[in-house]
Formats: sequence, structure tokens, C-alpha cells
Amino acid sequence: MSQSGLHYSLNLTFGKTQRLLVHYDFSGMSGRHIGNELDGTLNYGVIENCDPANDTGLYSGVVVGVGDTTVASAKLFTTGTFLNNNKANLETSNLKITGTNSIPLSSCSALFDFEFNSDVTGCVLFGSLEKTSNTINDQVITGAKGYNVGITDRGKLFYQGFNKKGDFIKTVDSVELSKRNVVSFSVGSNNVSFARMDYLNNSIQSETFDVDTSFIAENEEIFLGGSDEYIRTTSGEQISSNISLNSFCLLSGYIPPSATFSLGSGLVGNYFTGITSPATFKEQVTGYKQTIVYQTGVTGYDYDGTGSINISTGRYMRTGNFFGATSVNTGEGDRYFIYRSFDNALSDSGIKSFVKEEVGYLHPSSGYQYSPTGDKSAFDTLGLVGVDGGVTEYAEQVGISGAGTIAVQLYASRMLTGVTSGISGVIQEPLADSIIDRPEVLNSGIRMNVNSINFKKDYIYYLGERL
Amino acid sequence: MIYDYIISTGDITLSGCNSSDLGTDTFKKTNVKAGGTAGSFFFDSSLFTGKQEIQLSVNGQNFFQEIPATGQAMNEIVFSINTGDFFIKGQEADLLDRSKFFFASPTSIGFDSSLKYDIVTGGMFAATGDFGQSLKTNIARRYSSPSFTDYDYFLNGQKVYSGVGVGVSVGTEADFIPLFSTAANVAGVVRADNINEFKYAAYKKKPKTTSITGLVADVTGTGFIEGRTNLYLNGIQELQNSYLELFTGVNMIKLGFSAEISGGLPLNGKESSLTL
Repeated sequence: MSQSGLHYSLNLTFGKTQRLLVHYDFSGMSGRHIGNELDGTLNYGVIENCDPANDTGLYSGVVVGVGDTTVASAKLFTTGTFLNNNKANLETSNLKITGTNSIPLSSCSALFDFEFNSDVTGCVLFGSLEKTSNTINDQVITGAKGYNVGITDRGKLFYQGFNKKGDFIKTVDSVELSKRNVVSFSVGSNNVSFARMDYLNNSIQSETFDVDTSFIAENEEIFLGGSDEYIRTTSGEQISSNISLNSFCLLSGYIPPSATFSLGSGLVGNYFTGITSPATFKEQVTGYKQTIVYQTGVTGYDYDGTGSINISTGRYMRTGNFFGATSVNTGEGDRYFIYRSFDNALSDSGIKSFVKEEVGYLHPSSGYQYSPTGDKSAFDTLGLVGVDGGVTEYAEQVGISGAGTIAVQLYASRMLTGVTSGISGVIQEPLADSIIDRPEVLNSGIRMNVNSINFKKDYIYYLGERL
Repeated sequence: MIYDYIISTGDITLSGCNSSDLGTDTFKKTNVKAGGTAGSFFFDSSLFTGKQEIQLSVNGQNFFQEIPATGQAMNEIVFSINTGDFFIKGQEADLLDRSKFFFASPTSIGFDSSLKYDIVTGGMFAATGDFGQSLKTNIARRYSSPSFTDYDYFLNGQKVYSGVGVGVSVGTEADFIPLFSTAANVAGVVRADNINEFKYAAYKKKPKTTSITGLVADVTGTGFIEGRTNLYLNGIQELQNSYLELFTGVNMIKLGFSAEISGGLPLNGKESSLTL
């Protein structure tokens, strides 16, 4: 199967496969679908355009040799006679590519992988030449569509065309064919390049010559193996050749021989991919796991009670008390004492004392605000009104106590330890993994598993004999 | 009219052979047509291995090949040339570009241009900006004692001849300085005021070849190898199918018959009626 090989070589050459319009791979057809075309009452087998062609729904190849009234018989002819030993035997039928009026024959390229069945005889490989005739003012105007590419009896490739000067044939004199050949032709701007790929010597035999491509019109039919206009045939269905096609492809645009050389390798060979050497692995530090270590230490203090201690003050203290409250009437402005006890403050120590404060009696209805009423006497000056009121007097008792003792509660500090915010360091723990030391080496390309003897050209293959 | 034939003679003992030892392995390296389309033309990269071996004729005008300087840019390789007319790319390019001509000026090539080329290995040299001194300097970098007659000279792609466009300014033939000026012994067209409009090129003559230059169209009396001839008409190279290579004593042309075929090919005729 050359589909994978051609797909590879197309991508290698163009980076895409869109330029491939037609691809017939005649090997391995037993596992593929054979189509059918009904023309009137006759059925014909159809070789379908296959991958990696841009649109496999177009350009099917009709096996035009023998039609049959039943689909089964037509298919039997295709698979049993036309397809022979993984090749399309053009000695049994030509192949008609359909719907080709959209293919610009003035800018296209084709590749053939073919071999002679026996003697070298002239034939058409690619037949699209068709004469047209119109009568205008009693003048017969002859025109043409397409062109033929074939092989002369001498075993040389030829190009047959028609231009304003009439018919012409150009022969690729410098290229000698062998029994099996991979050849290409490329039609560009006013030139045609032919090439034979010599994969045994990795060389190209090519020749380019001028052709007026402005006279090349499209044709709705292209025959592989025959032509409407050829010295030995009158129609494209008529068999002209004794060659077998291994594969064929038609591409858009001019493709130079150096590129068809690459494409041809994919046409003949198979794509392969493999491992030249497996990958090797090794343990290697891939990184480090870092852990921050914080300092430990005193984070604070707590205090526990450890008991108490009585401390002697070392000084005697005056003690006292007041009692025996009696009510005494006193006049406004007269002085008297107010007593307050310290008992509550020093009750725990048992020492008692008091204080007294001498104040003046004020008229309770005065609001404690006085204004002078005259300037004749002290009463007028001060604003006194001379009222009386009762105040409380006490009897006082004072003494001296012994030296006082004060009980003091004792506490002891206790350190609290833990992790502080200070960083003492970073622990780096290496991380290791098994990594690829040397990646596997992949290789891919085209492998040609074909018999090289048929490609050899150390002889002249002429009339079926090696000379 | 100046007719200039460059004829491969082969070795003195053998003619028509294709021997690398004898320097006659030029069978596929002369008059090679370049195919292409839409202004893109391609060469056969299998014919040579060097970086500067193509003597290209575009519609008869000689185009000088220059080895490009390359630079790296983001995801691309930048090629640049100075004096040359075209360059080719090497293994750094993709497969299709490795056999493609890249021209300095896109307008110099048309979709219907006719390109042919020879593979030459003797060396090609170009210069500009003076009357020829720098061309001599370039030649002398490769050949220490060049001879004036060992080279073919081109002025802006048109071949010029000694005394008709190019001459020797000083020195002897073995130690010359080419001159493209309007001096009497040169008869050139380069003047001080138009000196920057011209570009000179020199190609070392191919081995085992003979140049026959004169005012007579037909050349007789010399042996040659078929297909390995070049013709320059007034300095412009002609296509090979514009002249005939005939051998003495062979009557090739019958008078009175049209050279054109008309009326189509004979159908169902015998094989011998048409020689393909």
C-alpha cells in the first residue's frame, strides 16, 4: 500500500496533501471497495480515488474494457482480470478518470509507477488529447483538448499535443526506461518537465522542453492506457498498451522533478516509523522540598502564687475612735467638726483611726450662696442672717498601737516556652525522580520493499529483451 | 551581428564521451531547460553539489548567481544578496525550495520566461562601481595569475568581447585589468557618469571548449559534441532549438516541404509511418 507513503512524502514536500487530486493505488484492492457504474444496460467496475487525495469522492476511475449486464460480473472482471497481482493491467482494459473538466491540464503534474508486461511497444500512459472541429464560414477549424503522454516503440517517453501550428510530438530522448519505472510529467507555464526517478542511484533523469500551454484546454475524460487521438487507437476505451500500473497520481500545478522524486518514493514505498534506540532513564534530583524552621524559646511568663509573707511596718501607729454622738445647737458661721472613720479601710489589720474636719455652719436654706446685705457690720458684709441649727458632736478616744504587720502575697514567675516567629533556618530535602537520560530516537520515512531487479537500468530493455 | 559559438570539443583523443577524468562529463550539464510556472522556476539539484555553479540565461540574458548571506529572524531564515541576480537555497530550506530559483527582482522574471542554464565549475565573478578593477580583484582571489582570454565577460547580462565592450586597460594578457570603459581599444559603454548602472561578470571558460566568434552565422570545419554547444547572438544567448547542429556529409533537410505537420496524425497507420 502506498497510501501511507504518499501521505508522508506529500507532507514532506508540500507540508500538506491538498494538491493531490487523483490517487489510484492498485495494490491491496481485495480489501477495498470496488464501485460500479451503470452505463445504459452495462455495468463497469470503478476504482475509487483513494487517500490521501484531497477529495476521494471525485475522479473515480472506470474500468472501461468490458461492460457486463450484471454488477457481479463487472466486478469479477475488475478484480479477476483487470487487477492482476496487485497491479492494474492496462492490457486488459483502460481506466477512465471521470469528471476531469475541473482539472487544469495546463498546470498539473502526474506520477506513474508502471512496468512493461512484455515487449516494449508504443502506448499511451495518460490520454487526454481530443480533437475538436468546428465549421465557420465553410472553414473547418480544428482545435483540441488536453494532450497525451506515452511511450514510443523505442521505449522513450513522449508528449503529444496540438497547438496553433497543428499536431506535434516531443520525445524525451535523454531518458532511458527500464522494465519498471517511476516517471512523472509536470506541465507549467509554457514548459513540460519529464523525469524518471532512479531510486537505486538516488538520481533523477529529467528533461524539460517548451510547450505552448495556452492551447491546452481541459477535458472531461482522461484515459490511462488509451486516448481518443493516438496513432493506434480511435477512442480512449481502446487498449493501446501492454503495461501494468502499480499506482498513479495526478496533482495540481507544476511540480519540479526534484519534488516528484520525493513524491515518487512515497508512491512506491511504504511509510514506516520506529524506534532506533530506546530511551534511557536515570535518577536525578528534580528539585528540593523546603521547610522553614522557626526558633523555639520563651514566649511569655506566667505567675504562680507561692504563699505570703507578713511584713512588720516597724512604726507605731496612732489609733482612735469617736463615739457618743450628741446633738448641739450652733449658730450660723460657728465652727464644728465632722468625723469620718478609717475603720473599713484598715479592718483587716485591726487598726482603727479617724479624721475630723472643722467646718462652719451654714444656713441650710441659703443655697450656700451669700450676698452682702450692707456694710455696717460683719453680718451685713458677709450676708449672714443669724439662724441656728443642730450639729452632731462626738467624744474622741485616741491611743497608740504597737508596730503594725502587713501580710504580702508572694508570686513566682514561670517561663512559657514554644515556637517563636523568628526563623532559625530552612531544611532542604532533595526530591529525586526517574527522568529520561536520553530520549528514544524515532525514525520515520519511506521503505521500499520492492524487487529492485525491475528498476535496474544496467541494460537496455527493448522488445522484451535485455540487451 | 556578432555570432559567438561555444563548442564542446571533447578530449583530443575522444569525442562525445562523458568522462569525468577527461572533463567531458557535461552531457546533462549544458543547455538544461528550467521548468516552472507562475514565475517560479526550478532546476535539477542533482546536477551539482556546489553553492555557485549555475550560469543562468533568462530570455537570453545572463543572470549572475550569488551565494546568499543568511540571517536568523523569528521562525525564519533571511537570505540576502548584493550584486547577484539570483540565488538558490541549501539544506536549510524545505525540499521544494532547494531546487527553486530565487531572483533579486521579482519583475525580472515572467511567467512565460524562457530559462536555461549550464553547470559551470571554473568560477564566476562579479563586480560593480568601477571600470573593471574590482572584477580583476575578485578573480585574483581565486586564481593568482589569471589570463584575460580564460574568461567570458558579461556587462549587465550581455556578453561582451575583447574590443567590443571589454578590453585590457593595463598589464599583459597574463596580468591584466579588464576595462569596460569607452576607451578606443575597448569600445564599451561605461562612463564616469553612468558607472553605477553597470554590473560586470566573468565566468571561467569551460574546459574542453572552443569559442568561435565572428560575423558569420555558420560555423564549419570543426568537430563538436552534439547538444553541448552555446550560441550568443550579439551577446544574447539563443535557445538551442534556434540553430542546427549538423554533421558534414549528412543531408538532413529536404527543401520544398513544410516543416509543420497539419491535418492530424495518421490514424491506424503502421508504426513505421511515424517516428516518435
